Amino acid sequence: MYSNEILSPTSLKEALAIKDQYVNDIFPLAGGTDVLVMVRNKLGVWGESPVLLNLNNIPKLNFILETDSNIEIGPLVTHTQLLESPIIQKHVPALIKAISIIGSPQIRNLGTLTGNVCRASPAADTLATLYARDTQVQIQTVNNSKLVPIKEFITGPGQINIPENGLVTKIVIPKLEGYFGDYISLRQRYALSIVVVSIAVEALLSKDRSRMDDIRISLGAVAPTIVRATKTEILLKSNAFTKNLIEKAEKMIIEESRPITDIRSNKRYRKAMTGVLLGRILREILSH
Amino acid sequence: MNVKITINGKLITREVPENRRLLDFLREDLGLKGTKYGCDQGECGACSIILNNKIVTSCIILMAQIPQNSTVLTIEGTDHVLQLIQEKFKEFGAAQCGACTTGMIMAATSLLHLDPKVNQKEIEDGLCGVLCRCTGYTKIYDAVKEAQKQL
Repeated sequence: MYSNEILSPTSLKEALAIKDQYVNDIFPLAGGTDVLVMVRNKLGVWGESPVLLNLNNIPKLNFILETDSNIEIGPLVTHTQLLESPIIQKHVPALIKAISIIGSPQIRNLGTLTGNVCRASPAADTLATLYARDTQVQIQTVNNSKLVPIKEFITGPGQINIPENGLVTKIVIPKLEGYFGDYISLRQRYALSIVVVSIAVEALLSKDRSRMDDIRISLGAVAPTIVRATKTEILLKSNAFTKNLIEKAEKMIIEESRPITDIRSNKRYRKAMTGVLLGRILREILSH
Repeated sequence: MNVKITINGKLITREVPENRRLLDFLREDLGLKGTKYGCDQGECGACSIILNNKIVTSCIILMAQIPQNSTVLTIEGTDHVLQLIQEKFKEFGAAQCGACTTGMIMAATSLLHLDPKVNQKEIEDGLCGVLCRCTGYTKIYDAVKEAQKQL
């Protein structure tokens, strides 16, 4: 069925050396839920049956770590591992909500978070929360390693900014103490489906609960990449947090979002829903 | 590559191409044709099998991705829960054209292995990765719930 040549290094060092040698002629393979489907359907570069760099024999790439200020996730960590991780449950509950509706149990048992990031779909479930968290992506080459903010890493639909000899070796999610995090997505059905519009919020209320000390709002499937609703964030941060403010924020996010019409939905509906979903989350916060 | 894999309780060691899919390995190399070849792209769930205690679609797994000494359970296996669910599918007529049936039974088996006490909503979520286009799912859910009573 597949004619691809496969290289299966057993250490990261070896993997980086192979990537350095093959550069654009080799593609990393972790869970395979996307890569193998694209190879099968001969989509884009995948039509040439590129050599695959199988990372599954490098157990050191499978980790979920908690440091003082971050959560670090290795490239082989599957969606199911994240769902079952007490660290993720405690520190990134909105990500749990997002992952729990990705694909199906079958897909979640195979697919990885890093794969979801590198696929760079504007409708990816995990990305809205990762943007709200100002997540960083670690890119490694044979002689270099750097952290890149996710919004600089993803440059368009399916487009990522990575050196031709680079591999993503870690996803770093900052912890946010005291924040309320939520994620809602609308889709045509709640299994094996793709987002019509999604929203992730991370909000920090002031001690007396009268204001938002901080709020991060990101929207999925309304632009070529996930986008932060920065105008709406500023509005919410600079006024008393009341029912009235929520209504203003709903209007502003509808203004601010720039969705398109495609096979899954249309522009008008998507725009309207950004307001509805934001309102739902903000009212939940207000009523708590 | 040389694989060492336990399939339905039987240890199998043999040479396979790294880019061979698990689905083809099961169906063509081992003749285990109970696992169905469906959409071929990880969507319909007909090829679902249990790999290292996790339900997966075998059409989008290459042999190179599977760790050595893995275990696989397919519809041909003799697992107690698997056989009970098959009995209940028969009893409740939870199959029509049969295309999804293997996948459904494997997904239900995996679900009850993980937690025999799942509720209706959890059964629906657990089986959502297998698409059935004829029964309307009701008889399938009924069969799974009946199997639960006997676990």
